[in-house]
Amino acid sequence: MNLLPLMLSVALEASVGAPKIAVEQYQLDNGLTVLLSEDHALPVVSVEVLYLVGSGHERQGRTGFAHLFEHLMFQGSEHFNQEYFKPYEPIGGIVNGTTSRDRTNFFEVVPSNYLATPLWLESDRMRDLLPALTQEKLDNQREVVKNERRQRYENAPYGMASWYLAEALYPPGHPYRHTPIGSHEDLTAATLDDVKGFFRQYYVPANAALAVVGDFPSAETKQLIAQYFGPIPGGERAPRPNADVPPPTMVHWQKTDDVPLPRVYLAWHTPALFAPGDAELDLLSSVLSGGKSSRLYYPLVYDKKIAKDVDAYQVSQQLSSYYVIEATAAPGQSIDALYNELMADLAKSLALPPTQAELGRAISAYKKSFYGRIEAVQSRASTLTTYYQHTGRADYLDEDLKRYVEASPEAVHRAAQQYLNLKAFVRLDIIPGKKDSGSPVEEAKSKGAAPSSGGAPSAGGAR
Amino acid sequence: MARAWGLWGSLLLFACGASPASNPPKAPATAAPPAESGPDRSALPEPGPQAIWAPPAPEAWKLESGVRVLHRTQGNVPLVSVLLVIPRGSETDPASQAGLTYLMGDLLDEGAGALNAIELGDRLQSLATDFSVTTNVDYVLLSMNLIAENFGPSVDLLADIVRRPKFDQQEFKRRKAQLVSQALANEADPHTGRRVAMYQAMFGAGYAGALPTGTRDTLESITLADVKAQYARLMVAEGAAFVVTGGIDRAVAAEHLRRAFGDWGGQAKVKARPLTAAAARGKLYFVDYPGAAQSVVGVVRRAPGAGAQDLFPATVFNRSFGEAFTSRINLNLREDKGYTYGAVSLFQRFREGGFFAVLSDVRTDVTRASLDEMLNELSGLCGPRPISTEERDSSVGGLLLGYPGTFESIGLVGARFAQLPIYDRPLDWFERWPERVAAVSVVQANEAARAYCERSEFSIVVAGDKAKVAPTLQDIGFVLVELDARGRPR
Repeated sequence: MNLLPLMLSVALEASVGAPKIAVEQYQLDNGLTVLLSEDHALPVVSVEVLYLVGSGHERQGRTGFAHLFEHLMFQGSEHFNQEYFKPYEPIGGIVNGTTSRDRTNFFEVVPSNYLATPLWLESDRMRDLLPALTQEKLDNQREVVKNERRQRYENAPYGMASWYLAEALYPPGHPYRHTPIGSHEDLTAATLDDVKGFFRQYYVPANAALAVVGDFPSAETKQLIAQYFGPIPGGERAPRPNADVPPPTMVHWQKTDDVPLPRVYLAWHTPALFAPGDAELDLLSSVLSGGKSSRLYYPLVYDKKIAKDVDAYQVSQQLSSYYVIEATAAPGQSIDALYNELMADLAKSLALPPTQAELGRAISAYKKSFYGRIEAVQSRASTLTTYYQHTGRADYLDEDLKRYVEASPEAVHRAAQQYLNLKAFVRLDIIPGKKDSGSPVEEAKSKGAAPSSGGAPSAGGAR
Repeated sequence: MARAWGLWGSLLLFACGASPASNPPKAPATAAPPAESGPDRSALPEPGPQAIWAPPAPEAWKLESGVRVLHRTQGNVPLVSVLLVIPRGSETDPASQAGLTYLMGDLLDEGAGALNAIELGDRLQSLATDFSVTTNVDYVLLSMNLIAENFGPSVDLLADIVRRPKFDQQEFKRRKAQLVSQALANEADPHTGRRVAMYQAMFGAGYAGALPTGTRDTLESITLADVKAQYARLMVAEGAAFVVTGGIDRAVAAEHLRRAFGDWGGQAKVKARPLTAAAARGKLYFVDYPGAAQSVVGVVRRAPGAGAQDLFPATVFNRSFGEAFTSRINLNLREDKGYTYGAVSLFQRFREGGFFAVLSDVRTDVTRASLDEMLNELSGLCGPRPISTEERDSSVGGLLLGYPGTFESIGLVGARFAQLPIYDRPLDWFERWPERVAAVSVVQANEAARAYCERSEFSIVVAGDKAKVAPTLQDIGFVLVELDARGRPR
């Protein structure tokens, strides 16, 4: 049911063009990429330093290391060897870092007249982290990170699912085989020498980008950046991990968790972030699970009430992505009944292209999410560094938006049919029981593998 | 190293803030040597001159019906946030029907005006308008995020949702079953267990004692007639206010709101459950999660509500004690001991009453040690470790200088303005906030702190593995009370 569809989509086209963000991009002699974007609406400024290293770069037996290292970056550096957050407290600054499979970022938001503070501190730890590092700091943050694993994964309902999915999707040795949090065993094994080697290889200007977004004076800021970051030895850009996209196979695992309702996850390998098909699959998610009348929500949750919830989403990554559909059973429904209904409705959903109305709603939602991403300076800085990392250009907003706005129903349909092979995928069941603790794959129950019938993902994956 | 706090669901964050006047201008940082010579690493750089910035106040006017509108044009993107604040919430649920207002709010957009539930959902999506309802202790908040161009039709839909909900029997059955299964699913999360026990410990069967979302048992008892009656009593214009922020000017907003809500009226006929005289003290509430990898713990006592006399001194004290990353609690439990991924203290202030709590998720085998550290930190406030001048300065500075950033998005501004009608605060609240923070002395911060240092006033809540943890707590001096995740005695 769709009221005034045509008139509205026209109105949206008219009012939601590509937002403009002016970005200046240049490189220092040592290879550090600098991204500057001014906005004087509020007296705040955000600094982000992106390092092109993530858990995908970790070596065997050191899962979780990139993220543990991120924590150590907050333990002080040679000329500021004390609690790293301390100078930010009295100025109301926001400070944090995150680690993904593909990269690690550090960011601050400060009053604009304090811009020199994060530039000074970021440059000091980029150059001189190691002289301040001790075994004691490593041991303490190792415990903190293990607690993070317990809090966010082990002690959260369905919290281990992403870990199992990675092990089911990627073969041993694949850089995406584990999530960035790592295993307790490997965290325990990390040594101070590992830390030093990692820093020297990856935490160098040539492997980093610096973004400054918000209220700052351009000329003075460039001078400050040259002064603080310019003298740091450049090092080399780290190669991206190499990996082929694994061929689609049929895998079925069952794991237990202390939850009252069973949940099933389906997962497929899909095109990398910004590769053809990536945006189309994003849009497909809205068609499948966005809103009451969406193609999976309506039959499973609204109509038959066999599921408590259903969700579909593309996890976009650098080497290749994966697509997930998850559904939680309504009380009293078995995992197999849920799975069978889900597969039947999914087959129906993928048989026909989205209607213009379905696609129009999906595109409108994405346009709005673009505005959300660039509204505040910190998320705007992250958007720019993401563009830089994956396309080489921070000034990529128009192209990114275009992938969504210009997607056709046929293109979305093609991507769905090409990548969501209904005969070869990962099925992971989480069923009520005593909590599985986590890692060993041997516990997993594998119910045989069917050969692939669909084509292997083509675009943008293995390199 | 994202710091994930086990915060519970108030959309309206309690203040943070800052004054432009607090920092004397200093020499610009740019008077520096040329790049070749390298930077001065002997000390952190001095700040530049402070930017001039005034905290915003909303423009306010009234519709013919008397409903207030708070408005501010902001931002350079054509997005608008529309909030409708009803300053009555789950505090009006009968004790045996916790979740009644929540279920009523949930049903408002399941069919309204001429549209059934599916049609209404599609219509909102076609407009690219996000709609949500939040129910908390003191309020029901209806929220729309929309594209400015679609303000008029979106407001018309909002009027249907607020004034002409269908309350269809089939939709009621469906949504009630949905909320019951969500309540069931939530029980598996030890944070739910801690929250249920904490609310019960602090407020019993009175005001704020039950979760706004109810439990399986209380939701099951609710009928469609109950929902309709609650709607008629609560969802009326008395005390309600619109908060409109974003890329829309006053004349346009006023015209559409007048058309859709100009004749909306009605007097509220609900009453809040009374606040119980005293909270539990000296008790140890335990919710068992066998095999849990961590204990989700809290040390908690009653505190005044949003109108607290010592609101500003307490805000400063708490930032030093447990809110900031470098606060005593987090440095001790995380950075020194490695017991946790993060530890925090906070005030939860509802309109009529609130609580103060120290919270953390800690490794199971150091549950006792963590609780001892928390209690020692509290006692230290009245003993050897009052808040120091340095801590006070850092907290006041942080609150003041961080203030502009808390007005960065239209969503943040809207959520802040919505506090005004909920807590009955004046329009210049946000303008005057900085001077009130700046005025807090270290003496006042310590007076506030001393209200929270007496061990016997607190209760402890633990959601964790009872078999492993309970034996270690036998001599901690708090009396064991066992509950399940629905708050029922075991």
